[in-house]
Amino acid sequence: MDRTCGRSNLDKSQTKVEIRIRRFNPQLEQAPYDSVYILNFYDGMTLHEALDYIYKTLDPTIAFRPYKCDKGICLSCVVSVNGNKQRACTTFVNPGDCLLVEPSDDKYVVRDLVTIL
Amino acid sequence: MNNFDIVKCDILVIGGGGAGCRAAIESASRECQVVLASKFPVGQSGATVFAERFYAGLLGTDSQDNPQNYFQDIVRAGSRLCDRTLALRLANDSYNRMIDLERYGIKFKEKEDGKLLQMEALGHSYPRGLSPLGGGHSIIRVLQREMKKHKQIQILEDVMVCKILINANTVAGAICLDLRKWKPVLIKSKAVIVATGGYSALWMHSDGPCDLTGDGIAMAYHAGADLIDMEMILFYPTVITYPPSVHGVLLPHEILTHQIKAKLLNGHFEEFLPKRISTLEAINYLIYKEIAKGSGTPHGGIYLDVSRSSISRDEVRSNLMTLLPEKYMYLLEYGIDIACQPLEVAPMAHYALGGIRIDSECRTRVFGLYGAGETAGNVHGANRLEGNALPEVQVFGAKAGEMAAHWAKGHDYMDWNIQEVDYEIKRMESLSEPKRNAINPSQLKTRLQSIMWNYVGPERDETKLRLAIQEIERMKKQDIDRMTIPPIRVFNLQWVHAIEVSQMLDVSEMIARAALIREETRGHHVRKDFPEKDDKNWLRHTLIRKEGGKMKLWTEPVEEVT
Repeated sequence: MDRTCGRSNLDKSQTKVEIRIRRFNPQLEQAPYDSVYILNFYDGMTLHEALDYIYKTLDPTIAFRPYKCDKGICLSCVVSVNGNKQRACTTFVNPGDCLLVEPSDDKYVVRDLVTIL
Repeated sequence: MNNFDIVKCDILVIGGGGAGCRAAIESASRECQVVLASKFPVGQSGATVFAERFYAGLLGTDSQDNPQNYFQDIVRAGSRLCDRTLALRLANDSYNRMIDLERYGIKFKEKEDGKLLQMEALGHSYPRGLSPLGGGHSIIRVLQREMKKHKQIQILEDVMVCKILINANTVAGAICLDLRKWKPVLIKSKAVIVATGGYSALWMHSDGPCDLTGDGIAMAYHAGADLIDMEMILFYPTVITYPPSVHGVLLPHEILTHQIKAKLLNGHFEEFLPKRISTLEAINYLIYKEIAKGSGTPHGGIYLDVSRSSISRDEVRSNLMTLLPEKYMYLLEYGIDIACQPLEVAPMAHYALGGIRIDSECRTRVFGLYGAGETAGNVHGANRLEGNALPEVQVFGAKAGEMAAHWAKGHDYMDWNIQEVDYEIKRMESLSEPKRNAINPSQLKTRLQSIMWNYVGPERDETKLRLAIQEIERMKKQDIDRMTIPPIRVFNLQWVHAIEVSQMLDVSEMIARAALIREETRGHHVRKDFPEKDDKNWLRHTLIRKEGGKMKLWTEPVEEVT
């Protein structure tokens, strides 16, 4: 499976970021697909904030885990970012970034980025 | 309609935090079948994970280290508003519940001689701060491990309880939503323990988790339980306001200002606090006033500046690593080194002091319905002592588990009203039907959180509170029925938020109404139009009950115990 975001149309100097979310509802759908969101970048933006912003203002249909423990220990928000498992709360987004965000474990997907431990 | 699963058990515990897990263990050890339902996974939900440093405990080290002194401290710190029977329960049982935690595998910090280290904690007249290694997160982990040892406990994660079913003022069960399957689940139980945590997420600025929306309090209210002192919410003075990635991260001001000698400065980098301030609420209010008068920082806070500490930077760093290792490292991941840069901090909603009225055995006025932990009020009064949240959840969690087990053994199941169940399930289903002028529940939630912050925040007055009530009533009438969610069944967060918002509106209205009738300033409840504490008229609890479909408010005197 493609683990990168591919070539982005975004210029590094731009103030936008591209978040590509791998979507899948195993109970209904045959195969995953991607939804792409373009966000305005601001200084210090994290992936957790980006997901929260997408959910609240762009697309309320995405499934992700909004809980955050403010210590980095609960691991509720762990996702795969361009193929690397990491916490969304401490993943920084840089201007011009193009991030492919997938569930942390393909085997236990409930829907989109939500998995069962 | 039969499109739901039914799960039968003796006791349903709602909430997978410290109180809920402890209650489940206690009930199961008394041979009861327990279902624990948690809105999100255990360990990834609730406020226990957030707990920082202290478990206030008694060790009986010397003659001063006794429950009576501890009890007096609770009463004094809470401006004499606590329910005395609950404070006594906390003071008396804290030690035994700490021993339980040690038995489950929690280690407390020790001195060189192997005895437990007792540290100074804010507001305590005796050093009662015991430090569980790994904080609240390790407490949840050991409770989780302990629950696994009991076959009688079934844990349902990503299951949101939406309504407690009652028949003849007695618990019959509950309606839940299984987020993973999206399917309603009916739980048939003889007793229900509400341990859903507080309601700090009702405010726009909060240092707590996003899931503390007061669900259990609203459900208990609709089930017929009384609520007590709902206007009392603890605001914590030093929570990061900027940058947004760490907005809401709490910085323990007493460690930073006392042990690390950090300075609290206004937006012009000037000191503005008097040298000696004794209480949390006093610090809070002075900071709030400084920001309100326009002397704050660019992002509406004050500076907490460790870089101006009188001790050397190396020493500061090593102190941070011993006193606040997790938080220090976490902020470093954001490129924020507290040791060398001032941070913008402000008061934010931290802990719900009010809640479901329980007696010292965790009973409510509904038979078979129990409350435990932050959900229950008013153990502390108008302010809480540092380190008292962890023993509270363990003490009342265990007691609720014990009492619910007694009840379940002596009583049979009650039938529920099938029309009520059908109605409730249809109501939940109808959320995804298309509507005119549809509103997204997240928008409604954000709007309510900003009303609560602006009108029912750290400083209140009659005008603001009336505005809040008016707006909440309007939202209930005009907005709730327009909420529309995407027609997705599996893990639809909008479904959760839509159900939360209806409950949040109920709880917010209670808080605003209770705050309006308490015409005085006590602890964290600050009325600009009644700036003094009024012991003559207001050594009283505010109480709320649903009567004839309406919210009834009254007051009762605080009773001393002899």
